[in-house]
Amino acid sequence: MKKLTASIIAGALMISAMGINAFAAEAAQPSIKVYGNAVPSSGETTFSVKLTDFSAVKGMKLEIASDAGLKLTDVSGDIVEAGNYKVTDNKITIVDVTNNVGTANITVAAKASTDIVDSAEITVKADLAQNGKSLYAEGTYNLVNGKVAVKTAAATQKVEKAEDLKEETGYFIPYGSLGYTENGVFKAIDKNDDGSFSASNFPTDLGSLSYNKYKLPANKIMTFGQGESEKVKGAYQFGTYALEKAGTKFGTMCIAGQWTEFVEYFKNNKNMTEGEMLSAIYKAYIEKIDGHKYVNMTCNGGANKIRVYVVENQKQMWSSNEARQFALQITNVKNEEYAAAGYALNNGTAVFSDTVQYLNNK
Amino acid sequence: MKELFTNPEIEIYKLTCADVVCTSLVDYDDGGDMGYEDPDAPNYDF
Repeated sequence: MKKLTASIIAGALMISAMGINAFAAEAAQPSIKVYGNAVPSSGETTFSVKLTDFSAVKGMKLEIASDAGLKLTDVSGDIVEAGNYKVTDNKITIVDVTNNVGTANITVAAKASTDIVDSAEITVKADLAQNGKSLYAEGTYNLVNGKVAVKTAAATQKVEKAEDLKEETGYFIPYGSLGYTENGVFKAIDKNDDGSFSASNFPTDLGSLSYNKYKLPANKIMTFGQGESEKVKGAYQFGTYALEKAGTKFGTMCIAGQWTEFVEYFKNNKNMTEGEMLSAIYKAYIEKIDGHKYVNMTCNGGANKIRVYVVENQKQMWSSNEARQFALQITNVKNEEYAAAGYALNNGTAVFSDTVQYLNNK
Repeated sequence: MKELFTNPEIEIYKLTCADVVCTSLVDYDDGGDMGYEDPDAPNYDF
């Protein structure tokens, strides 16, 4: 089994503001972004919060919060000093009154608990002081969500009564998450249009079945898993679940090659999160593909290379009037990294899954 | 032990890890051969 990705979905950045219009038009807009790690780690991980163009900010209070599935354990970095921060299980508060913060990197250590499947939200709240009396207003600085990848113990749900097994509002249970093998053949429990599972093909021993449920993200699309095909040796599949209202067309973008180096380069040199990088890569792909199978892309002066594939969704493993589940299968994988994220096209713009699935085949 | 487990040909498939979901199922999109190399593939530099 190869490594898999689980990811953390970033939360919105909420600003309480009293305020006076903030920054002069000619000044660069201050930016706060949450960056995850390109490669998931098991249980314990780190993510960073990067502040840029903060010279005009006179002081700040930052609250970095996680949901219950992720415990925040430590914080360090440029503005973190003895006595100006507090760490509790799910929130870190930093108060800084320094006047000369241009760029600052804050590193947060975190530990995933076992009660999440693969994602937890990160929410940052910031109060930025314009002077001793007023805060900058929301919208006067750049706020971008981020995510972090962790490999966690899956939160398995036990099946007690077949009739009760149905997706809750805001959650989905993938078709194929529930099944059994008979005579060497995998049999998925039938999934109905309403998200319930058909009791007609449940095995006798119901209590021995377990399944995973996932919280549907706000953007209505999630690439939730990957693994080696059981039918085709050397083939890997990346599964995505999406609500139909997420877009008019769907697909999966797969990146082969130096994924880790690309994420680091975009973070450090372009101040772009993983999500922003995916959008930039997709835009470059559309510009260049012109009937070819893939586009070669480089960064860092040509030192880092990837191949980018975009495959429109044609077949669904399961679908209803409201949602679809599909997967991308790739074959003959080489000794390199692969990352894949599902997308929905909405008015010509690709909305990507916040969760990127990662395969380390190096 | 339930009856199901007394039959050696039937085994409950316990899925406890997200990465095996979908891999047994058909109707996937074909992403192609990752080993295929196109000498004329376009290039883009960031």
